[in-house]
Amino acid sequence: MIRNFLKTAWRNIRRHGTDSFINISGLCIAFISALLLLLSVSYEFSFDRFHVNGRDTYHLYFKSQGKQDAELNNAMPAPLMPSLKSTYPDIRYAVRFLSNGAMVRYKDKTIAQNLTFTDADFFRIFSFPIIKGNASNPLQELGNVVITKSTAKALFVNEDPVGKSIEMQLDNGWKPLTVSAVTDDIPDNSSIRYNMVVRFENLSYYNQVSTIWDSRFHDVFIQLNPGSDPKIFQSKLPVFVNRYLAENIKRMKRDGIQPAKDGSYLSLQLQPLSDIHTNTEIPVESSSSIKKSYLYLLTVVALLILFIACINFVNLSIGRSLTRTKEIGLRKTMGALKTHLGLQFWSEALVVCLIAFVVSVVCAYFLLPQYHLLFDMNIQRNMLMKPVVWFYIILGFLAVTLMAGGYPAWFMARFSVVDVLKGKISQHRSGLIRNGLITFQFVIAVLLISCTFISWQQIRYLRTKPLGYNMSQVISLPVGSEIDPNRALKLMKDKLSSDPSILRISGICDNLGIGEDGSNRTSIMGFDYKNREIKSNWIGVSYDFVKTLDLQLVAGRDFSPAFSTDSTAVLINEEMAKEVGENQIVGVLLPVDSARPLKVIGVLKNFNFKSLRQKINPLTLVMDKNFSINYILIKVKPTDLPASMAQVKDAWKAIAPGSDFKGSFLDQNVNRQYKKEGKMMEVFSIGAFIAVLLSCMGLLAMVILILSQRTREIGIRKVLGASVQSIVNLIAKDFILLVSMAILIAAPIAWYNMNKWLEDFAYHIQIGWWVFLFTGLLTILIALITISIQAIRAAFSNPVDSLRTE
Amino acid sequence: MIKIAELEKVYRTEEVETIALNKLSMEVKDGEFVAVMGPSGCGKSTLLNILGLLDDPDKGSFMFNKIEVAHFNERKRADLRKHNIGFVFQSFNLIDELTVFENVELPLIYTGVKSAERKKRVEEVLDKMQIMHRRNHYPQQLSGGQQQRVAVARAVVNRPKLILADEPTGNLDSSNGNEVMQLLTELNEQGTTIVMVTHSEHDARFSHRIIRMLDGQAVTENMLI
Repeated sequence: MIRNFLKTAWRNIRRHGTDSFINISGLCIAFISALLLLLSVSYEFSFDRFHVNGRDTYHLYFKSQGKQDAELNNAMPAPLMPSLKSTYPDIRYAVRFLSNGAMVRYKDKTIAQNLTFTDADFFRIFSFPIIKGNASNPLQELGNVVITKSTAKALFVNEDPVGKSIEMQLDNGWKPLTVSAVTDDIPDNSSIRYNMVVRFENLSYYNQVSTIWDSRFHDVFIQLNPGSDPKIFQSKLPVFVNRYLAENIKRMKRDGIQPAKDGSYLSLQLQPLSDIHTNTEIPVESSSSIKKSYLYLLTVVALLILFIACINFVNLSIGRSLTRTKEIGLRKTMGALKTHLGLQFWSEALVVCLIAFVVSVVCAYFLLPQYHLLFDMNIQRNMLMKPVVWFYIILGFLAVTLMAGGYPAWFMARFSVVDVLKGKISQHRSGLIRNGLITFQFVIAVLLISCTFISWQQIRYLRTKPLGYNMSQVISLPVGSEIDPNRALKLMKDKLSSDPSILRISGICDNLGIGEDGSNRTSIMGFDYKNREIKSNWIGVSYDFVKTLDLQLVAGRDFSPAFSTDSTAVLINEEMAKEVGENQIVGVLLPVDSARPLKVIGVLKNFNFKSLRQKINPLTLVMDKNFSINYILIKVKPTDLPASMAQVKDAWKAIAPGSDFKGSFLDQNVNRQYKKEGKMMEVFSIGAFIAVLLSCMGLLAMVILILSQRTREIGIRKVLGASVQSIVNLIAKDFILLVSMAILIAAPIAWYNMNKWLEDFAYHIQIGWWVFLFTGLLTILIALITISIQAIRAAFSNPVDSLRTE
Repeated sequence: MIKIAELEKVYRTEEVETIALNKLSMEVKDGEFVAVMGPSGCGKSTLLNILGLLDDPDKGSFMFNKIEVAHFNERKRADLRKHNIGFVFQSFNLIDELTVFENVELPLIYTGVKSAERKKRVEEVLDKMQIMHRRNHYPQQLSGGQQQRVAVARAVVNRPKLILADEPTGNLDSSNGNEVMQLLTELNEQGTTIVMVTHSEHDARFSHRIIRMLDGQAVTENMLI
C-alpha cells in the first residue's frame, strides 16, 4: 500500500513539473533561510549555558533610582564581594571580575594578551576545564597565573608551561608570576573570556580601593548553594545595601530622587548567568551582548518565511486537487476510504517536502560559511552535526509536512463521490481559504518591505546627521598597552607636525563612536554643587582637542599651555552649563574634589558625543592625569584621506612596532555604533526579499492553476471579442484586490511597531505616509508583473485550442 | 459574403501531419443558410474556425465581405469578428460564473456598447428567445435546451451578419433541437447568413444548401431550394 502511495506520489510530482518545481524550490528557500536563522538564534541562546553550576550562578548589578528612570549598573566596589560572602552563608562561591589588556613576556618573547583579575573561586564557579597543572585551586597563590591553551602555545610553543615563571607588565612595572595551570580555550559561546587569569589583588591600585565603597569598577559573580531560591536570597539583600551603602542613599534622598515602588533607592540585584548574553541593559565587562528582541525578531522572520512556503504548498495542493476530482471520485467508487485518500495525498506532500528537506540541508551546509561572513553570525558547520539540532530539525520538518500536507489531504479526502461525479466541485469551494492565505502572505511581505524601508531611512539618518564635530577628517588611533599614552602622543606630534597633510593632533581618553579596537566607555561622575548633585559625562582630553574636532566655543577660551593652571581647568558643554545654572558660567569653580576645585574656562556648543540613541547630556572635558590619553586624534587635510591614513600608519609603526595599527576615521566609528541596527535592516531586507519571492512564486503557481481551469472561459471570451488587455485584467483583478487588502492590513501594523522601535532613539525620523504608498505600489507592481507573465500568455493563446478540448 | 478559394490548412505534430483542408473553394452568399456535413475529421470544424476568423489558413484566399482577410493579424481578425460574426457551439460554451444576462451581455461589452443600451438589447433578445424569466440564473441551473437558447441569444445580441453554428443540436434532445433549428431559421429569414456544421440530416434540411465534405475537400453540393 505504502509503496503504491509513494509510486503515485512520485508520478504526480513528475507530471506536474511546474507545480512541483515551485513547491520544492519554494520550500527549499524557506527551509534554508529558516534553518540558518534558527540555528543562529539557538546559538545566541546557548551562550553561557555550558557551566555545570550555571543555574546557581548570578551576575550582580545595582539598580539605582535616577531623576527619570532607574539606572542599572554592573560596576561594584572592591569591598562588596568579601563582605557579601562573609554575611550570607547562602553564597557558595563569589568572585570579582575585571578584564584588562597586558603585555606578557617569557624569555625573549613579548606578546599582548587579555588579562583577567579575579578571585580564587573563579574556576569553581565557571566550568573552564583545566588540562594541565593545579586543577583543584590554580589561583591559590597571589603570584599564580592561569593561561589558556592558545596563550600557552603562543608563549611557550612546545615547552610545558606549568611551573614556569613569566613576567607581566602591570601599571607598576614588570611583575613575575608562576603559571599554575593551563585551561582549554574558551568556547565561542561564552561571555566570560580571558587569555590569562590572575588574582584580583594584583591590581596596581588594589590597596587604594580595597576598602572604598564609592569607587565602583568591576563585575561580581556569585554562586548560591545548590537549589537556593534566588528570590529568597535577593529579599535578604536590602539590609546589606542599607548598611554598607547608606551614604549613597542619603545623597539620593537629599537630591529629591523618588524611591522605587518597593521603597528602595538603591538595590543589589541578581542576573542569571544565562541572561548575560541576551540582556543589553545590564552591561558586562568584556562581553558583547545581543538584544533578546533582535533574536525574537529573527525567529519571527524565520517562522513567517516557513509559513509563507507552507501557504504556497497548501494553496497549490488544494488547487491541484480540484483538477483531480475525477481521480478522487473514481478511487472512491472503487472502494477507497477517506483515510486511504488522506494518506495518499499526505504521502505525496511528504515526498515533496522530503526532497526539499534533503536539498535544503545540503545547501545549508554549503552556504553556512557565506552566511557566517554575510551576517557576522557565529554558527559553525559542526552545529549541523549535533543530535539535539537534528532532533529539532526533524520535529520541525514533521510539523511542516503535517501542516502543509495534512490540510489539503483532509480537504480532498472529504469530497463526496456524487458531487465529484456530477462535477459540482469547483474552484469556488476553496476560494475563501485560498484568498485568505494569499492575503496573509502579502501582509507578511508588505510588513517586511515597509520595515526595511523605515529602518533604512532611520539608519541613513543616523549616519548622515551632523553631530556637531568634524567626523570625516579626523583619525582616531587607539594607543594600546605597548607604550605610555602621553609619550605616544608626544612622539606622534614630533613625527607628524612637519607634515603638511596633517593639520592638528590631540588626544582623548574615551573614543568617539566605536573604533577598530571595539572598545567603548563612558565615565559619568556626580559631585555636589550648592547642595545638589550634578551628574556629568567626563572625558579626558589633551591640548588642541577643540580645534582638532572643529568644536565651537560659545564662551570663554580653550585649554592652553600658556596657562599653568589649566590642569585644574574644565571645558563644559551648554547642557552642563544649564545644569550648573550660573549666569556667569566662565570662572565658576566646580567642587568635584574639595581640595582641588575645577574651574570652568569655557563653554562649548552642544555636540553629539554619544550615539543618537541618547540626547546630549552634560559633558565636562578635563586635562587630568587620571584620564590617560587612550586615543590619539589626528586631523588631516580632506584632499587625500587614504594617503593621510597611510602616513599616520607609517608614523605609528615607527613609534610602536609591536602594536597593531587600529586607526580609523571618526565617521567610521560613528557608523560602527549602528551596526546592530544595520544588521536588523539586513535581516528585514533579506526577509522581505524571500517573503516577496515566495509569495510571488505562490501567486505564479495559483495563476497558472487558475488559468488552466479557466482556459475554456478565456477561449469563449476571446471568441466573443475580448482583447488581450481585458483578459489580463480579468485574471489580475482578483489578485490585485487581495494584495491591496494585504497592504491595508499591514500598513498600520508596520507603522505601530516601527514607531515603537524608533522611540529607542532620541533622534529619529518621522514615518511618512509615502512609505506605505511606495511599498504598496511596489508590491502591486511586483504582483502584477508576476500575474501578467502568465495571463498574457493565456490571453494570446488561440481560443480554438482551448475550445477544441471540448 | 464569403468567398474562399484554394484554402489549405495543415496540422502538424511531431509524428503526424494532418491535412484538415485541402484546396477547398466555396462561396456563401448574403442571406444564405448553408449546412456543412461530413464524417468526423473531414475538416468541418476547421473550416468553421477559419470562417469565424478564429484560425488562419496556411494557404489560399478568404474574402469576407469582399475584403481579403486570410492573412489578417489577430487584432484585425478580432475586430472584424466581434462586429460581424456570432457563434453557436455544440456544448453551448456558456461561462459558468456568469448569469444568463451577463453571458448574453458579454459580446456587447467587448464591442464597447454603453451600459443602458446593453441592458435594452440583452432584454430584447432574451425576450425573443423566451428565456427572460431565467435572466438571473446560472447556466448550471438551466436545461440543455435553455442553455442553447442562451447561447443563440448571445450569438445574435450583437446583430451579426453571419452566424456560425457548430452542431448546435448535438447535445440536445429532438424537441429542444427542433426549437433551436426553428430559432436559426427565423434568424435567417430576418436576413442573417448562417453556416452550420452538422451530423444530422434532419437539421441539414432546414438549410438552403448542403455542402458535403470529405478529407478536407468539398465533394458535393445539394441545393434544397
